Amino acid sequence: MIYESDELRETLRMIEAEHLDIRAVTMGISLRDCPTDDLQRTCERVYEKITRSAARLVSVAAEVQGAYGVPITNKRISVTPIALVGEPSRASSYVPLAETLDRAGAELGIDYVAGFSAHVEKGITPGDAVLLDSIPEALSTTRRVCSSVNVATTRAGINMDAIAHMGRIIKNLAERTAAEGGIGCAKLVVFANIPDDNPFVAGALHGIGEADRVLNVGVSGPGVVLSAIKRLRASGRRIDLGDVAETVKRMAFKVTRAGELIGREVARRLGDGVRFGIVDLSLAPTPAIGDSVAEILEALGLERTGAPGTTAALALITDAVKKGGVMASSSVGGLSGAFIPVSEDHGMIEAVEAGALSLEKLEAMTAVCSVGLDMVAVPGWTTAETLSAIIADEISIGVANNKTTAVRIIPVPGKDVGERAVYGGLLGEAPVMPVSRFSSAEFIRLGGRIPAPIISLRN
Amino acid sequence: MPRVISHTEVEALSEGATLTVEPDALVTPLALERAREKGVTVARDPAPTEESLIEAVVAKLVGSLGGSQAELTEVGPGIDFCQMCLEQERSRARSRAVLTTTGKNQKGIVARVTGRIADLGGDILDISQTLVGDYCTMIIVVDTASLDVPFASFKETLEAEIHEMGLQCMMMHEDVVSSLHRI
Repeated sequence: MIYESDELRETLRMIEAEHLDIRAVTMGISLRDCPTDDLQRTCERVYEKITRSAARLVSVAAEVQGAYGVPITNKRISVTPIALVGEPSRASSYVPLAETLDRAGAELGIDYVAGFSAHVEKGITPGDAVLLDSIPEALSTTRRVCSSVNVATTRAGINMDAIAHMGRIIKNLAERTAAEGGIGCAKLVVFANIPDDNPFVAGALHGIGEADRVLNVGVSGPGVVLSAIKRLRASGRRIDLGDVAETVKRMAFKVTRAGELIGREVARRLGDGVRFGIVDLSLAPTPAIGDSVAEILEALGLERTGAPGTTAALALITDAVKKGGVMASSSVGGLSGAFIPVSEDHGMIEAVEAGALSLEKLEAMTAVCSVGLDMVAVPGWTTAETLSAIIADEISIGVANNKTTAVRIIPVPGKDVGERAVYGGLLGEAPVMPVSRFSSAEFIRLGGRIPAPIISLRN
Repeated sequence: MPRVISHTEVEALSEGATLTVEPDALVTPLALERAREKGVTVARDPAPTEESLIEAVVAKLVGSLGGSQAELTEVGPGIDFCQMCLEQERSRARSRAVLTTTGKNQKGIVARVTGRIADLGGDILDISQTLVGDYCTMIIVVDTASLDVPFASFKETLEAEIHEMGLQCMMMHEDVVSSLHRI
């Protein structure tokens, strides 16, 4: 045989039984040629640019999926931060731009369009302010639009005024979408050190240093890693954590290779100047059984995710994933690491409900994996100041460690600890987690900027 | 620049109408969906012929080499040159598929599957079949460059044939296997 039958069997097993898929092909579209001094005209240009650029995205992805036999789960679009696109119009609300993105997504058969975003790490321009004020209405009246706000970088420090504002925005957004458990907040991410080429929504955007149209790919595969670890442990050999790291590295290598192959092929078939961007290798769970990061941690011998040792185990996995990915492709980018969204991972949900996993432990885990407090539900009575303080804590982990961190938190209106908010689909179900009852209001009211840490001075 | 046909244009038409668009127009997925719902036929006019495609490619090539439309007539035998490029492009893109069939053993599995591959114009490059107990695994590597039908219908027909025998199968592009296992 040209191929060993073991190789073929492994490939089949990865796709069929272990949910190996291309989680997202995301087309980044620059809207830098769209701003005008009239918002209506800007909207028309944005709509034209997006529909023209991505008209064939869904059909080409389906074609490649058919030809290669690897499922492509999501087709998405990210755009230039809308604060930059709207600013020249001097309009007082960017909701029409959000509606335009929503309409373009519907026209193209795409479920999420991300990039209703602003960078405010050092200060807020009039355009940024309009964008921030538009977020609650924009996300509660549209279905497909996702928003992200970068409130800090290691170079600039932390904009605490912006964080205070984000607490109020999240509160307002939750109340506007109260009927659906505050689902609007699931489409809003607050970032430190936001990447320019992340293909995973809700935090995707098309950075200003990117080419006109770029195709980024997000690969996942917690299921593949989980079964590899289970097979290793069942092999009967005496194994240690070094063997685990080696196994995860090998699997990450394979998953990344599949991602790059598919990404390059989709970009090639789209043609017309679309460039292949990056592969983001992230262990991104889905609500499906066996597709869980928590299960990987538990396969390493932790009774429940959140038990002492969880952070160490997660650090091992995340590092091994990165090393395998970097060996496989020279175009690794985005967030690349492990995601630990609570509502989207049944193992995480069970750990929370068993009392093993708290908000504080999650925060510690985010110091060693990608992203941060993701899809975390807290009681509806949580104040805006407490939300801001939770964000500030998480953001400072990112700033001090020169990494990306983010917060996607939902104060579920009318719900308290012990209840669940059900969103369905990939967003899953979020158990409401306990929040400290001690106030941080005075601290948040101080405002201003937390200066950049000493590690920012690297020149 | 090609025109973008959105659902609003389809909705303006009456049911069962025909929407004629330029050969390079981009029709959005929602426009196609609405067209299906309303029984509107989307026709490309004029339909691109092989010659017109080759002409377009030559024009683009001459353009990228800094030539003008006027020089195009001088290219003459350049059409062959262009076809050569296309041939090279074709052979560069390897087109081999790996078909794996598994399930309970029965008579005639190899005969039926290979027969159907031959019917559809596939060329078998490698084949192996083993039994573990009563369980059959067959792996076939097919050259799909010279198929008589589009790849999608090749895949669909074979899958239907194999499922009919009560077996499982999976077809994937060779590149998936090689990228996963070969450096």
